[in-house]
Amino acid sequence: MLIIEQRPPDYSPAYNQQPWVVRETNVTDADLANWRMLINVLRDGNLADPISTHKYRFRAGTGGCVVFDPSRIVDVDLSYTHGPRDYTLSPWMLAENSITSYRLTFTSQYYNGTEWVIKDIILGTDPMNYVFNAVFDPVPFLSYDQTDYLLNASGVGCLTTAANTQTIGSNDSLFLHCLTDTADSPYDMRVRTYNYTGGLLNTYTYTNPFTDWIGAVSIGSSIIPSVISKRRRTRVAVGTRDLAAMSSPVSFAGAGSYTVTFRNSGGFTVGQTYTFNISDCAKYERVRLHWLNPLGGFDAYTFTLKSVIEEDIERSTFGRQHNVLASRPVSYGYTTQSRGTVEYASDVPMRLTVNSNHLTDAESIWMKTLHRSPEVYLEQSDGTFIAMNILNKKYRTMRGVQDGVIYAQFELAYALNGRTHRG
Amino acid sequence: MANTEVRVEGHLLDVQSGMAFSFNYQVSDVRNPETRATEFSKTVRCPGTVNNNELFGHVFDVSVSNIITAGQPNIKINFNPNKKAAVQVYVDSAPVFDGVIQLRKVLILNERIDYEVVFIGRLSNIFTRIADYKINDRYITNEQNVAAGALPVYAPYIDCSDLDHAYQRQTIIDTWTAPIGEGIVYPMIDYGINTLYYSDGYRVYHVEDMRPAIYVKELIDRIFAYAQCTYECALFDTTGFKRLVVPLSSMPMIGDDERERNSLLVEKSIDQNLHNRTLLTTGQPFTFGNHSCFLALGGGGVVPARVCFEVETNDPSNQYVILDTPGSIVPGGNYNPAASQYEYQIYQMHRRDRYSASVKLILWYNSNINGSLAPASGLYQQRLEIVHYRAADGSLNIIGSTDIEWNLTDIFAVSSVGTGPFPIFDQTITVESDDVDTYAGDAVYVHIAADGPNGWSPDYDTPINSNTASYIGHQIASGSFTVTPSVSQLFEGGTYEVTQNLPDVSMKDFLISVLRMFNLQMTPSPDIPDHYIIETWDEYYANGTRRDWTYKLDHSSPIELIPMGLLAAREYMFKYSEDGDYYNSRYQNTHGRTYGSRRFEIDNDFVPKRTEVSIVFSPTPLNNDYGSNRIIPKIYDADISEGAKPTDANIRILYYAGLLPSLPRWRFRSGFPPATNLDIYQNEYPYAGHLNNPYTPTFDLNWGIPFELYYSVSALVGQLFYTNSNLFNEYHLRQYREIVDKDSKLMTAFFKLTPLDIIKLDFRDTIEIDGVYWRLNKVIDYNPFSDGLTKVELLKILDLDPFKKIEFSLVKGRERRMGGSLAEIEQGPSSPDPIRQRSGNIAPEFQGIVKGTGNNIHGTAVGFNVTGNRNTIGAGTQNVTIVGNENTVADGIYNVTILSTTGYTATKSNVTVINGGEIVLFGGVIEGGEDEVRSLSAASPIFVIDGGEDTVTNLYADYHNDLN
Repeated sequence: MLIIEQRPPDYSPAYNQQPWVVRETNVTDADLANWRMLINVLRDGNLADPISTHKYRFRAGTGGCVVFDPSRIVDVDLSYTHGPRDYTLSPWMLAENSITSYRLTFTSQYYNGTEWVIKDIILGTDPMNYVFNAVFDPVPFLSYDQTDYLLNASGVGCLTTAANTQTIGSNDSLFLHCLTDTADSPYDMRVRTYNYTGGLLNTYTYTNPFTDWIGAVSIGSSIIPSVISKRRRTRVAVGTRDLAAMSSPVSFAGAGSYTVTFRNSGGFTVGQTYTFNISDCAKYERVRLHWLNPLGGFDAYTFTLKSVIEEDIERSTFGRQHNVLASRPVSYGYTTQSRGTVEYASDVPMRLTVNSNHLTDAESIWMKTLHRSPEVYLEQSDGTFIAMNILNKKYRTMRGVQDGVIYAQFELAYALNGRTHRG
Repeated sequence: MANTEVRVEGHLLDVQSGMAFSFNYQVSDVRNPETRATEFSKTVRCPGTVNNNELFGHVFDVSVSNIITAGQPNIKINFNPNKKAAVQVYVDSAPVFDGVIQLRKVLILNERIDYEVVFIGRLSNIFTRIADYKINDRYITNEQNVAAGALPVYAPYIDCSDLDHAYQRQTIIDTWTAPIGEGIVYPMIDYGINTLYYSDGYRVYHVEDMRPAIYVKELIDRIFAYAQCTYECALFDTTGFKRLVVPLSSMPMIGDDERERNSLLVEKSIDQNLHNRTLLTTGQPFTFGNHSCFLALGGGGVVPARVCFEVETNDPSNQYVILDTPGSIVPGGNYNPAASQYEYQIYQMHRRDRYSASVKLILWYNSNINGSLAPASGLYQQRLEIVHYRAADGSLNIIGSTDIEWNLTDIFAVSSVGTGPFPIFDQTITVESDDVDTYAGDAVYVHIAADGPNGWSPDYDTPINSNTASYIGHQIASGSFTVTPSVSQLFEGGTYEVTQNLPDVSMKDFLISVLRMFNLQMTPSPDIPDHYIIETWDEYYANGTRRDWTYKLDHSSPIELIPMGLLAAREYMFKYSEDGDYYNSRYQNTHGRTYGSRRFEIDNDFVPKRTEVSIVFSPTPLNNDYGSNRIIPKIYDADISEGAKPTDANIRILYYAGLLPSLPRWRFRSGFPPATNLDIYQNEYPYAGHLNNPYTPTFDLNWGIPFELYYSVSALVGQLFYTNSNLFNEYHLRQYREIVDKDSKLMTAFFKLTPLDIIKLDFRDTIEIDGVYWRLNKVIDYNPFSDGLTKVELLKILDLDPFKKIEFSLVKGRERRMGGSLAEIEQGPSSPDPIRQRSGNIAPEFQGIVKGTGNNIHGTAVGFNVTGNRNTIGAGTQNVTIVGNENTVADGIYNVTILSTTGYTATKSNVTVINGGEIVLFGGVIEGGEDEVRSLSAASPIFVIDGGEDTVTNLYADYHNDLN
């Protein structure tokens, strides 16, 4: 008989280990050679869509256990979800690339001298295991608790490591990412605007349109949720640019700040309250970067000190025959416009250097997530994004008490090089 | 920066930007496809992104064991590192590479995964598929079952079973005029099996002297089919090429299918009594099968008892005859010798087999009354025998015998045995034969013969129980009879299984040799997978287009010019492989090189190297077929002093020219009835040789003109010509002249090649640079992932005079040189001098045999065989045999035989002289006295002999001239 001795949480960060320990009670150390385990990794639990099949031997001295970690298998369906809000009716969007689901089947087999015979089969999870695009450092991961990130109770947070209170420009984008395991939460988002003295101006409510657990796959007599997994991962546009562009827009006229809260279908607040102070104060051109944070959401920060854009060019030339045999009239020779050296290709890498204003200790720690992020975007004035790569090889977290005034400088490369004419 | 995509089975593969990824293209890949590295990149490392992880089936995980679905694309969960995955590389949507990708290695460091992959061009496919398999190799079809203990089942890689045919005269004749290039043909090749001349002077070829040849195109087609590839080649479709054949020169062996057809296993299922006393257990009053053995009670002779095997377990050709109603028992009337029952009947013309039988014999206490015994006693003997009935003379021949002994004294050494019946003693006897030749109408069976004139019958007839008239029961309880065809030569009338007799060379060597002979360029089709375009050197470059690269050449990079840059050797030797048969050995020993080889020497003071270009085939010198105008290959043993003997030979390639006139005609003999049709006269002979016509050739399969030929003019042959149109001159000369000419130059320079240039890249093309024409030789390290210049190697095209084709008559008596430039100098064949001094004799070469000294045979004589001294044979004579001294044969006569005679002068044809006396060749009356009459053949019968002490001898059987 197969017994699952250990399994990962229902909701796991994709880029940390997700060990399964399964025991076959019939296996003895004396007979290990005649036993094996087959493990199928099923995408969204679909028996018709296996991602891979694995064969394992039982480990000696464990009473017939095998250990299997599917983390590097199931991440095949994961990436990131970011970009301009493309839906003006609602700030709610699915973050479908940021979560996936899988199911395991364990099949123990023994060799009867002629062939391998199935002894037992079990399903790893009922109905499914979910992985989302988060990653934890090894030590914090030891205390990972999925309930800290499921937006179905008060006090839990969205998928961000930014402070609950941030400064935002009057025309900036920002997205909060949510993870949930229930159908009725988050049910809606409430935005409240305040004047500069803290007086409430207006309250806006945006209902989550993805309230139904939609989609299912029929496998035999079982109904396996499928598209439903996407519903569990949403993102909400909460930037001034985004909220002002809704078909039911937020009016920021006279507003000095606003708050964002989430509620369940019963009207109870779930999660935390996020406060945004609106300010466009900057001596230099503002540069706002968005980046993939460790929890799989996207954070953003506006660099307000001096920024520099530079480019290099690498020219490729060759020496071409500069004489030409003309046919009418027939002549052979060259002119002052004849080009011997021809530039036939060039490569134009571009760089952007940004400098932050004063940072708090917490913001300095937070900036570490920008330094590590593989997905960084530069927010354009029209709300679109340009892909960037961080070039810094080193980042030092600073503290005010020992470092004084804290700044951060980042050097970034545009992910697309510039182009020139071909010779 | 170019937009580059790598797609594996249609899926995008993540690759490092700007990675070192170089493609190399070179024309030598086209010329030497077996060594082709194709567009082979350096090992490329791909990052272990989630995309690539999935494409490669998560193979980085050591526990992965995905279930592969055959026929599905080799990608993702179906990825199998053992199998190729199709890959295309696109630069700005332009395909610059189309081949396969192989995953070589997965590198894991911490959690970082990298894949090492190799890109392989498609051309290697055919040579990968045929590997080193030989044309006659077989593979095991049930490999997995064999691992589980099953017997292996073999199948040939190249299956020619559809070409199997009856090995008989008419089939052979039919092949001579069958469509050219398809299947097989039987050319006239002397394998030294038999050198028989009939008394009319015509040479006799038996069916078993003939061996088939398979058309080269047939073999090529089958190799491509095996490799699941196709080709297009104008040369292969020419009539000339279709006429190329590979003789299957090894002794034809009986094939597996024939062995299976000729095998037998029959078994005994019904007890067979061996005497006519009722056996109490069965109630049979007599015997089933043979009741003759002990029929003659009380004497009267013994007839052996035929052992009857009733169950035909394996009789695929239904040659074992049993009763009409198998298994039935009809007392007293089952076995009918007149109906030839229970015997193995031969209908094949000739076969060779081994026979064996095994029987279990039982003695019964054949009484149902308990009592004391009063048995016979003493040692009695029988024999289990295998009998061969020869239809030719009606004789019965024992071909296997095993004695059977019964010590009745011991067997019945008890006074009381209880109540019977029951078996009291048994023994199993086996018998087997050696190889036995049988012929149509023969039969083989098994019987038990009793010892002595009366056998056991009196003893059986003696009561063994004192209380009643009970007798010994004697019974065959079980047994089997097998026929196992010997592993031996295939005889006339059998089935020639082509697959079994294919040449023992690898498919690759064969294919490469053909490509090399005709300097064929082999390129993969850009449009059709596994399809190849095969062209001669001339066709290849004629099909190219001119491209102006004047403005692509980078003048700011070094330009390297090397005079005669591709010159690799001072001397090139183009040659066939050596072989050990008589004429090849003789040529190799005399001239230090193989027959038909061509040395191409360069006038260069600095390059000492010598390079050989060889092929798997061996050359095949042509010879006179003595006493005729026929010029044929002779492939037989080198030990000529003992006469021609068959020998193993290396693979050959010949030109089958069809039927050529034969003067005189020859006899094609079948060894089997109807006897009236023993020989069929043939006025033409199926010629095959290295020349497309042995008399007036216009093409020679040799690389160059031989120094010496082994055939010559004669009165029958007439004028002979030769040609310089051979493999080297026709297919290689121009290419090598471009390399070795003093104006030859190899240029290496950098060019700005675009993806479009790479797409169009074709080594056929002529590259123009500032008004000078070049051929592409190499494109080195083209990297589609980075903008840059590409190194290109080009060979200057020279304006050279075309090869001059010459047909010339053979000059006798001295060597000949053909004029021309340095590269064209060839040595003509040496003198096929009709009159040469040979061991103190003067006689024409190749036309007959002379042993002794002082014999003088005119240069136009043919078909002579002289043993003796100082004999003289005149001009224009044919078929003269002399055993004796100082005899003379006048000019122009034929069919003269002088035996044991000295000083005789023959002046008329068709005369035989023995001991000085002339014998009339036609029947007549011998007048009497002590006459000696010798009949030389069936054509010279003796009509009347009058009596007296006459001696009649048929010399015909001894009249086998060994002319070698």
